[in-house]
Amino acid sequence: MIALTNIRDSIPRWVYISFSIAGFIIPLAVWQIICSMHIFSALFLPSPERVFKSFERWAASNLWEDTYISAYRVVSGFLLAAAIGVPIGIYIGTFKMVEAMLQPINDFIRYMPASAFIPLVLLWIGIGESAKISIIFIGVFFQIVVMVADAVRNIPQKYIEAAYTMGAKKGEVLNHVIFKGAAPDIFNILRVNMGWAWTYLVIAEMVAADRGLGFAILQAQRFMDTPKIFVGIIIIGILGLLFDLSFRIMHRIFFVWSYK
Amino acid sequence: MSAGAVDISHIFKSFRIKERKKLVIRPVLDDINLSIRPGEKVMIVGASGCGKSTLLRLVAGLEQAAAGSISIDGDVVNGPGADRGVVFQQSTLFPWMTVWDNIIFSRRLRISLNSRDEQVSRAVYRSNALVTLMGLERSVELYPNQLSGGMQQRANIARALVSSPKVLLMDEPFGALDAQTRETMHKVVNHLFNVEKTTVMFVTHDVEEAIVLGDKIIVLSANPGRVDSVFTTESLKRDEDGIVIKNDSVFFDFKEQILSRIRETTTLRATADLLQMVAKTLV
Repeated sequence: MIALTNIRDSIPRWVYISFSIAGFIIPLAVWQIICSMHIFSALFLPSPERVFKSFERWAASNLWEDTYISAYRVVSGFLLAAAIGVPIGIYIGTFKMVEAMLQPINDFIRYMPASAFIPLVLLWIGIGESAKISIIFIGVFFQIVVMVADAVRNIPQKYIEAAYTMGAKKGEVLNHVIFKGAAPDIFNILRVNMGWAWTYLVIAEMVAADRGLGFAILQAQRFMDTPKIFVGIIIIGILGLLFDLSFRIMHRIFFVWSYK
Repeated sequence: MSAGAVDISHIFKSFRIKERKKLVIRPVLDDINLSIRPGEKVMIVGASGCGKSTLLRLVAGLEQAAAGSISIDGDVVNGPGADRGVVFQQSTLFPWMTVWDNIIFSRRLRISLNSRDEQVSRAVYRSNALVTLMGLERSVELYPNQLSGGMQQRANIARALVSSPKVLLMDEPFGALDAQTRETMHKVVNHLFNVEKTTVMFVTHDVEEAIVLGDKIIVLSANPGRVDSVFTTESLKRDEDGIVIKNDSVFFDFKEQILSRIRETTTLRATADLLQMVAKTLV
């Protein structure tokens, strides 16, 4: 008998995987059962079968094009936010002066809803690709900054002191201790924010889009095409899962030491 | 680097602490004067809170004294530097580097693309020598978290010595180790001290450790820390390797002398505290 309910105890890998699969299968089965009981109209809750058919129809037309353009927007907005947000976060977490200047304003903007910026983005940037990328950027940039700053603050002081006693200069401490030490956490922060970037996709594609998964969902809503809404949401979920998985694998490769 | 004369003169240091919601200034070190000869192994003992670690951190340049000065071979200390290696109680090996990369770290900082080959090979040679001396041959490719506490401290010592500092500062380096490992470390360090002629300042609360490893033992009184007494281990019996013989009456007497000094400084302090409290209530 395998003990499955001991606090924090590990369980065999096959059991773990079985439970993970069950976590997907059970909701799917419940969905199927509810549909076969015909409690709700198909307009509100289409059956898995109808959703799959809708997927096939979409796949035959422009699903891949929509997926590609959406992924392009998400990845661009995310990369831009990471490229600017990570260094700023590191500086906020390291230098009190930078913290004093940038942290309060960052926290101030962080609580503003990204969707509220749509009119401004339209006004300032227009309706091109950069407008959609901007919305995703706004959605994750300020989060990346504050989370990276926290990760950097968590580097124990003892490592910084040790580096100084070995003759390291300020820049060397920043590079060899603060950045290297926080890197696994920063990478995890990027993974989490990649997920959030996907959740901003539908909002971003509210901005005068004519292609993309978020746009397709909005349009399906207009035509009461519930199955297609389901497909769109599920595809975004699957893409998010795949991105997450690849981040996890890269983390294991890049930061072998943090698993020792 | 050779030499390594440490001159500590009139060092005062206090901390601001909160006591019953009031900010009070508590003196930690009160007029410390020490003069350490090059190559001398000086042990600093005393009751907890006597400021022995603070003294070491001042020499390391990690803290600033309120008054007084510290100099190494005449150069005034005003910040940390590679001329003073430090080993802390807790391992400070960088978990993101292998043991080897940790040990060679300070040398690598000074190696650039246009460094001469000779400089690079000297760094590798020195690191290798310390790896062998500390018995780390089989651990160099591992990450610090894969090592036991004792092995981590060996690596910390090797890392602190790699740039041949004038002074090695050790702040209770074996305080977190079990008794058996500590015993082994004493042998390793005794051998190390014979090979490396660097000056050592070693803080410990273990009097036996101080006797076994030191040439000179300094007892600090507590609250605020002052130099209470100085002992030398010259008169103790040693075996053919130069290691102090422990099961010997001379050793016991010597240890008892030091312990009684530590006890006395704490009871003196306690009496003074009591008197102060009485005075306060009367006023």
